[in-house]
Amino acid sequence: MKKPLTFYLLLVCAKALAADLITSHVDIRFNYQPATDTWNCLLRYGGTFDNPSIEAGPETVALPARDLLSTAFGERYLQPPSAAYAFTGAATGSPLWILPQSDRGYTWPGFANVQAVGTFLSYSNSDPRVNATAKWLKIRLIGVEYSGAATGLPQFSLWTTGSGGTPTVWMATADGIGPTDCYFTTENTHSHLNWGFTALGVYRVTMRSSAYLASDSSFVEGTDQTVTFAIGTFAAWRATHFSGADIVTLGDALSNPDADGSSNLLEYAFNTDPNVPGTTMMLAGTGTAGLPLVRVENLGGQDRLTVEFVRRKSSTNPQIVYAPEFSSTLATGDWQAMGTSTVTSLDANWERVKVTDSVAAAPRRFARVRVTLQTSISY
Amino acid sequence: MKIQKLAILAAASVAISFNSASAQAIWTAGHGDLGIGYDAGDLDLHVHLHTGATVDNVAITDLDGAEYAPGDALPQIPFAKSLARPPGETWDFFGVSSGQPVWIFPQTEDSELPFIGFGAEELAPGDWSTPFTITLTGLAGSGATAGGKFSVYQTDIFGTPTVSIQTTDGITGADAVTLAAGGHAHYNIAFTQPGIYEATFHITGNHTVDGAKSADATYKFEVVPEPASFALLALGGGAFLLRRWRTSKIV
Repeated sequence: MKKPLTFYLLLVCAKALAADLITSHVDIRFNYQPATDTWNCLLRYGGTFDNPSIEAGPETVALPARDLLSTAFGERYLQPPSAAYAFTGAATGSPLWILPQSDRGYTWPGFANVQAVGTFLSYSNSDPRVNATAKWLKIRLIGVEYSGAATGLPQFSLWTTGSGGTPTVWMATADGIGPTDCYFTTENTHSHLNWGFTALGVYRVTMRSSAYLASDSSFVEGTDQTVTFAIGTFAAWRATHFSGADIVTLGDALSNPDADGSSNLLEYAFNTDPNVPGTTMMLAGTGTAGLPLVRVENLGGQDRLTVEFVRRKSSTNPQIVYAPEFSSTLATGDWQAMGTSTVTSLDANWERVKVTDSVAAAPRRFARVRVTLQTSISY
Repeated sequence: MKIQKLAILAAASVAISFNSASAQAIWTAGHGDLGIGYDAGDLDLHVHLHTGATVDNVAITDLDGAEYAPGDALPQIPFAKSLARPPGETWDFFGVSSGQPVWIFPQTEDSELPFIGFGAEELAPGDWSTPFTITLTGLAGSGATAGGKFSVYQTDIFGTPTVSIQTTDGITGADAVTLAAGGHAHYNIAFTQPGIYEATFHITGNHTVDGAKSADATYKFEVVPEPASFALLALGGGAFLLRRWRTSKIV
């Protein structure tokens, strides 16, 4: 008996690895290591702008964007009509989530590299976006994996806006991924860019660094490195409970990694932990988490079915719809949204909802809360 | 004979430009900040150049970078790196008409230009109750005397400029950049005439224990003027030498 139990506990520990969400200045550092002739990729944040003190592997962290308008402390913008920005792949007026090149007090990703001066070969780079001689370091886009509910083709783009207002596009997936989807930085440079995403969801952006060595002009290229971006409330929740490639698999909306009968979507909807098995219903009147509580209550002398549950406030753009429904038969077509509800605010993100059936509980009534993940949100 | 003479002239012109520059560190590429520090109760204003920045044609190798008093580091833009002022009234703040040249230290890195930021990252955010205000109070130097305008602005993610400082409508209290303790920001720093610019700033902040603090500093920038005819002659000589050498190689 003991052995399987030990194994089970280990399994739970392994599942509980969650990514840290970085909501501050962060640099993606591609550094060449001459001693081992290898590259590494580390994210650095905290500390100061040029010397971030906390170091993390790319698969242990995620970079979130809030699904709130840019004018309301969020990262959601609207695609401008200008043809100069068509590269983002978003339709004019559609939402576009952007982690910006200038600090706005939230996730602020850039590139940096720290090398012994003179490590990289200085050469003339004829790419029209730079067209100069310098000790170039190239960061190539290898692939973008999207995980989310959006229909169509979610796109990723990376650009800077120059002093004259025109964008320089470094990477854009809307026209496919090719050899020009790359960013050129230089030895020991630290720079920031606009990171654009056209849909809510998790984006796993894979990049590869390369340069030429000053010592012998040889070409040195790193391995593929993947950085995770979590766009919107649900994606950020997934990234706080899973990390790396697990966000896509174990962290899928319909996965149930803790095998407790509730998919991640329900765990998200009802404020429970997707890595801790639990089938507890929320406490009547005071609960802040748990499965919906369904019971018969005597209200005004009549027995009525009530369903009580916690709900993410619509102001947080949770990307889910809660539909409390009642039925007398459990038949597929018999579920009806009905009854009267009372809502109690819990905090900035949560409220408690109690819905009372509009029909007497006798002879039998059933209640459920249907949770649907939206492909997009009408703001 | 003639070639030799021109070569000597070229060497002389290089020597002259070096001599005139010797009082200052000429900063021609790489990242550096107009920095705000705090030392023994006083604001410490300086220029901090990072590892790899090019000063007097040499990359800084010290991993701590290098620090200069304001005005002792002179960031330069070559004459040839001008941009044409874009059309549209959002760009009127430059103070020149559409299509006219402007010279800009850009907010995004250009490997051939100094990459200038404002930095207060040495300061702990908890020690300062309000952001620092960096207000332009004066503009002098040969560029300003020639009528050159000075502006500091950022373009947003879709390229729209937000102007913090511009001298086109004179110098007023509104000509200011704000920067939080611990913060760091890059701006476009623009000029409309070649020459030296000496921009004087009044910097204020509120220390949570020591109270209101302020200091003044003059930072210098240069849009390197178009080579004079003398220098052009020297350059022409250089080109002639190069062509001769290439010809002899091929033949």
